[in-house]
Amino acid sequence: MSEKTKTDYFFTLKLGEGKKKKREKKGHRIFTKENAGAILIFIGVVLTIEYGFTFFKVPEWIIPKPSSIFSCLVANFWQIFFPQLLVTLKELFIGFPLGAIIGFTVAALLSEYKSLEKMVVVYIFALACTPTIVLVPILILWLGIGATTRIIVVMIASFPPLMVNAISGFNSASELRLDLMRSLGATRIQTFLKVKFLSGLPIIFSGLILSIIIALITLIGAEFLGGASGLGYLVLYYSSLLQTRMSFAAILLITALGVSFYAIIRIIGIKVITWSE
Amino acid sequence: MGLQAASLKKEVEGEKNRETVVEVKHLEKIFTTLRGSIHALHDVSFTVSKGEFVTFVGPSGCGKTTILRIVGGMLDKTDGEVFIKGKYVKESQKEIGVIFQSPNLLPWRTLLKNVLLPLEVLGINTPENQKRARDLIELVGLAGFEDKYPNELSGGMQQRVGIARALVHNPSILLMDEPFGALDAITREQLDMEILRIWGQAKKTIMFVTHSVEEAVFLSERIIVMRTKPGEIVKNEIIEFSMEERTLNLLTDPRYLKKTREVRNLIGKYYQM
Repeated sequence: MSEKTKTDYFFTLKLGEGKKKKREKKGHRIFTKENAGAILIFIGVVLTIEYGFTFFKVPEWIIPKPSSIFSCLVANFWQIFFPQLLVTLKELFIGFPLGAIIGFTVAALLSEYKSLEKMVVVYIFALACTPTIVLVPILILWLGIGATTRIIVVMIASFPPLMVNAISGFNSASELRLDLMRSLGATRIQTFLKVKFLSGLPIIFSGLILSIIIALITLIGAEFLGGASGLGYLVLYYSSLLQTRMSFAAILLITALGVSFYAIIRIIGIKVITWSE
Repeated sequence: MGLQAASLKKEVEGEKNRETVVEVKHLEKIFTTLRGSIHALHDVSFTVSKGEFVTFVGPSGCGKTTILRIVGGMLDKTDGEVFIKGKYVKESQKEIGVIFQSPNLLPWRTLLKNVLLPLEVLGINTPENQKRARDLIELVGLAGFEDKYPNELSGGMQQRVGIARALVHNPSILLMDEPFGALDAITREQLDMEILRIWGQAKKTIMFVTHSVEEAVFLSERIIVMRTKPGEIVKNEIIEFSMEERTLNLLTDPRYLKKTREVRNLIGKYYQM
């Protein structure tokens, strides 16, 4: 299992996965060798850090013990972490849908008007390849430090990955399917809704997964750069106080956020795309 | 029997007595690609009469599929004129049903929903037409499979769905582009018979594209032979078998074998490169 195939699997929604899974699940076992191995690795790493680092007298402010990170997270969750988690979530929940809608709409327009696409394809590439976090200092300059700035950052970060994926999704509709619609004299909108959109749906879902993760990365970066709230800010703040336990607790929450978003979109994708080509 | 064949011949020859449904005049098609332009069709003219079964035969690249795509409104012509029942192609798409090279079903739609697609697009998804869709599904032998998805059906079954879909809006002209080329020989013969049955019962006008001379002679009343570079019509060949004669027994009939050889020789004459 190479790194490549693993990442592919990570972001790509295979067609008809949901349906196949359902059929296979009847004989599916949770207690496999591989799953047992995964749990063993987790226990191994946690125990090594917990006891090994204590044995070698690694100071708590460099690598805190897992148990103290956890107790720290539990003890301070409602007072410190939860409000900041809400801040980060709010920014994502407003910025991401806006970015996704923009990305989807622009992609639809470009795939419908080919000459327009040819004119702007270079800029789309440039935009998709630029780490949008570089815009944060400029946006702070224009809009100040605050929620609005970060929502806009999330919006800008999430739309190029979705747009690029959606364009290739819409364009993936085969010529034969388009011929079918042409032979019936279908309107542009009919062809888009009945063929191009649905043909592209699997790729669009991959785009959504990519774009929410890129949005999260960029948002945490923006919280580093400006402002005094959000989970990213907590990481930075507690590291500067050498309260590494608190930083790690915040990092755990950020990881949990990323994994949850990934899982949610993937599950929705599998539920929606029940067919296979 | 002989009399019937003679009368059919007379009918086909006396095309002026039959209403012309497809009229193609001096059709030109040039494809422009990055590597240059390809002259796909040159001065192609022909007419198809009401209820006629015409087959286009020729090697790949002779433009037979291109003709079908232009007549079906799937491709724009470079020059020339195409009329369907005296109207422009874009105005007469309700008259046309297409059966494609592959079944070309939409995988996210059930069998029934696939058959209903033309009705939805043409805005005639009425209860009567839905009833017609169900009848057609029964006609092609797929009753009971309405809620199955395409990937749950065999290749032959999928192509039968394609036939039902092409017929659902009751078009008077059927265009078929090597519809059964990808299927095994036995399924193909069965579906050929099915097409003959539909042609005989529903009196459709059929334009059929194939590269199989045998299939062309077996199915059609007239074969239009084409050559390539540029795509041109070289011969109109009349086939005289009557409807009753066109059964699987015909495939071993000496007259059928003779006719196939004739057409084959005709094609051979134009393809010595």
